[in-house]
Amino acid sequence: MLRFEHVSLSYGSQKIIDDISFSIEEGQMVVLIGPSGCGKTTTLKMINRLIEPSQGKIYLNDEDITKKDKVDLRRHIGYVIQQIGLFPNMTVAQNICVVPTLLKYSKEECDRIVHELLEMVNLPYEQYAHKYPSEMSGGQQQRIGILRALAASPPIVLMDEPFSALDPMTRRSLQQEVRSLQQKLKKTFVFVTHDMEEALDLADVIVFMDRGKIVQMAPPEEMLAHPASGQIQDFLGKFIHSSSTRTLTAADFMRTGIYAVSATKGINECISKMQRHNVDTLIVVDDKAAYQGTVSIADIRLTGHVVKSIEPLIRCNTPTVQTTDNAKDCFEQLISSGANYLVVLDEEKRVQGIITKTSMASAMAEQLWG
Amino acid sequence: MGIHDLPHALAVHLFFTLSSVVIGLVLGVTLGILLSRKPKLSNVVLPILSVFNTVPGIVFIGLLLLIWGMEAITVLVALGIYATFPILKNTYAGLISVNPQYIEAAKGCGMSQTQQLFRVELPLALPTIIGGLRMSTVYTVSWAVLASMIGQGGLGEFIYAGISANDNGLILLGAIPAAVLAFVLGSLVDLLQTYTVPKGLRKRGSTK
Repeated sequence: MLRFEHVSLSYGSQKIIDDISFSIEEGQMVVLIGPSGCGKTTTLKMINRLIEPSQGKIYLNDEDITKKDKVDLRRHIGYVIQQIGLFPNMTVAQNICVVPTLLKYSKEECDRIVHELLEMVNLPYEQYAHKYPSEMSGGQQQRIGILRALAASPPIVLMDEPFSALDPMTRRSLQQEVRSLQQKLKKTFVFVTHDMEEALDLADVIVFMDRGKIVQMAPPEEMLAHPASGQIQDFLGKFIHSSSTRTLTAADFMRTGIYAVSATKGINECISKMQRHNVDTLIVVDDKAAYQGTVSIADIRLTGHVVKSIEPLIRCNTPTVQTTDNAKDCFEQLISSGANYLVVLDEEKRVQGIITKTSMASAMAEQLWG
Repeated sequence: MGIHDLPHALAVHLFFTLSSVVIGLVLGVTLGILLSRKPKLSNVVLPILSVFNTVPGIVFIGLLLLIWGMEAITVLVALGIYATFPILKNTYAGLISVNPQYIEAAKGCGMSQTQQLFRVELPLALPTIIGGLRMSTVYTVSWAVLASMIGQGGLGEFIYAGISANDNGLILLGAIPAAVLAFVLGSLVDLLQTYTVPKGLRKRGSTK
């Protein structure tokens, strides 16, 4: 789809881009990232020839882009910029149809495109088509900016830090929209950002650049698992230890320090323990500390007057899991079984802890926010 | 010379004013566009033009008189050149102050240089250009008084006649219609501003 071959750019003795070669496949979302001044935006702008390389060749669908007419090339490449750049003298509809108009589409065709695209981002035509950019919020403006880039259905769309001027909430929702648009339309996207979270969220492939060179080009999972340099590791920062690198197990989610009673204990002792710990069930173990089951206050109330010890009242209906079980499976079991908790056992059937909804939520929160 | 000469004098004055402003508009906008494409050249040309702008109109008409004599063309060329200055300056200023994001977006969308100019830059610079046109129109009404100096008529006739005859009434007969004319034409340009400036720009009325 897109191929860079030994592309360099220098101003005087300063090398902005230093011999980069890479290729992008059709339908991929490729994110260029790196510290400021690494050449990511320059690389992007070379694709639509806003900047010309001093050496090397760039091929779009196996055609050398320098062989094509600049203006015509750009009409077939979508372009979204950070400052949005909607033309203030044109309405939303006119802005969306800038490229179709340049390509001399009919009026009806332009109108159809505007209807279709506005619908896609849930901005009602009647309400928005005839507004001017100055009458809209930044987030809405950038939505239109993206639609303008898509209007003439270019096979490739370039985005230069499109969301960095927006507030975090708007940014999130636009990221999701771009992701779903990209999956729906199956277009190739080249996206420049300095925000690693954005890159990890959106990218099929991340291209990490520094001082005009590509340091690493890899899918997000691979970059997280094997960052090629300390600098990338720094950029990945908090994400590197996140859930995608290590599988969480039941042991990570359980609450420990659980009080268990022996099966030979008397009824009254159990009742007072329950009261003291403010619980309505107790975990019962045998004399080797192996799990036997649970006993509940309801059962004690019902039959307590005929038995002395809790042994006959032990039930085994509480689900159990192993400490090494996958946390996600435990989560599903907890939700689907309707039980209040899961008992976590080790290989010798000894009770290690329990997983409650609360312990699950706090463990997840810890994974998410550290 | 009396009030019955007023309609004719006014018509001549209006003719000189409008013709000169049209010349100025064409020249000013064209040169303004050309200069805005060549920033380096503009750094040389614009200061020179400013110097010429300070030459009094009376001196300039005098110079042209030596070339063309007491003809209408002398007045039209002199006034036309004077009318050019404000329009040229504002066209240039309006075009170079168009926010670069719009230029980049226009280029990125695949507009040619000409399309970029006519679809984006000129509409965005229009409020500033019309501001120049207004200035030019009002100035030209007053400079057209000089036409009578070389016997080409206009409201200046009354003023010069009044001065030489020491007749204040006659002076006012020229000065008041000239002032009214400047006011009316200026208002017409303001009206033009309201109707031609793209809707999306009106609220803020600037090119920022």
